[in-house]
Amino acid sequence: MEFDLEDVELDDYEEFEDDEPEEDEEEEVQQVGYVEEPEEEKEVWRPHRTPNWTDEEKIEILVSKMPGRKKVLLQTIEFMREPRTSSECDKAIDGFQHDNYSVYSAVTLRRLLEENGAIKYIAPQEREQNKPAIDEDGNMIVTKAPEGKWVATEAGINYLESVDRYQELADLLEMDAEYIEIYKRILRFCAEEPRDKTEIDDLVDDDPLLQKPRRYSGYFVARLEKCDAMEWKGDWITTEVGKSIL
Amino acid sequence: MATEQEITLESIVANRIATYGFLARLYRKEIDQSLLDEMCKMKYPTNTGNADVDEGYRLICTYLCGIWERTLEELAVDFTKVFLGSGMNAYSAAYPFESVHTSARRLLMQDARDEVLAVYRAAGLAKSDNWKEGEDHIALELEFMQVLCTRALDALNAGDEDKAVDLFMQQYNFLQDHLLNWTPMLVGEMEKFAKTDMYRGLGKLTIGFLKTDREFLEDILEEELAALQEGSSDDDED
Repeated sequence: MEFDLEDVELDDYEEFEDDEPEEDEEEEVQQVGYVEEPEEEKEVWRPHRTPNWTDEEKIEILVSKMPGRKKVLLQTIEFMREPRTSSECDKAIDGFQHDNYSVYSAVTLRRLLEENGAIKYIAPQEREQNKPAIDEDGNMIVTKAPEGKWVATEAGINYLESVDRYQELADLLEMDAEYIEIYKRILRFCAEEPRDKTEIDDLVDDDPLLQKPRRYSGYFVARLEKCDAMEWKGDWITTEVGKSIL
Repeated sequence: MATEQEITLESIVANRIATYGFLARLYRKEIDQSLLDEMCKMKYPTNTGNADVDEGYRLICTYLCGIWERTLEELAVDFTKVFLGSGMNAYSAAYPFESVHTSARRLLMQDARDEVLAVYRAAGLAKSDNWKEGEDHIALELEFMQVLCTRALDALNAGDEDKAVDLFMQQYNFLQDHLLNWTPMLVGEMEKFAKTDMYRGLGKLTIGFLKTDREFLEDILEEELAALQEGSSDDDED
């Protein structure tokens, strides 16, 4: 049993001191004047107004603010093309995040997607009416409510289909054209078999291209992971997106 | 064939310990997953003889039959709304402190807190370092009753009836002088602020159980209370 009250060895009990103020004591309060600002300099406070974004825009903003969860969010929307129960979603999302630790639970990610219009919840009609059962002793026992289902919205599907990971990889290679050979070397290396970080370090860190400015393998792996060309599954592997340029 | 559970004083006191502990936990902080799972496995009596207790159990059990993935979030929001409120004034929530309900200006850390602190000290208890609120929080007062019940059960099991009676008397006095002095007001406010049947049910269960417990203690202490009554009548005559 956990208690917030503890047994203690106490000395004789002492009464509280009477700390009421003397009757004669008075606080002096000074009135301090102030200078009124001229009319034209006063700032008028207005409440912040949220722009009327479309659901597609809200989803895009959500994903852009959570770059580390982008793949999981897209996989979740994809999974919900068909209606899925909460437990099915939990299992799927936990799988998506298995090698990609997140502080966001499956429930929280669903709530974020729902708030931004990417998915919607279809509540079971029976949930509100689900009543306790009575056991043989006349006691009430809790009965489990049927699960509702989650499904991707039209906005969610539209956003999903607008994302082109292959184009993102192409954009990356265009932006970092001077390192294209390094990117391809890493993708080829990790397409052969799963590789750990040390192996990738050994592959590229000493390349003359990476000495000035100094770059390490992590710079490239992070960017490839961001556009889904590589992923971590206990080791680094090249995805289908990454293999497409080899 | 089912065996009837033998109802003894010890078993009743054991049930009281469990109920006080359960109530204290619900007021102490938000419901977490493990408590929610436990509550779903519990059995809820339908006919205890006290309408508030029955209604409290019914509300809680029915609420639990509608659990979905955001239940914990809903309960956390309701806990905050009911007991913490928006903090704009002394009427924004059902503040779970005796001082708030028994002081003229609804302030914390008033005479009631000093009194319960003295009662705890007299019983050799002090709040632990983990507890950051005042000593007159409902969770602590309920836990105090749980501690006294535990001591009474130990005394009964050791065959020390005098000590058990003394502890029952302490419980009765604390109920009369403190818990039942302000929980009706707390429960009325919980009814006003709660959005979920969980916390509405908790209010009903609390007031119903405390009243039932007082009746139980009045039964157990009939002779002692009668003697006290006679003594005070003699004093009045003098």
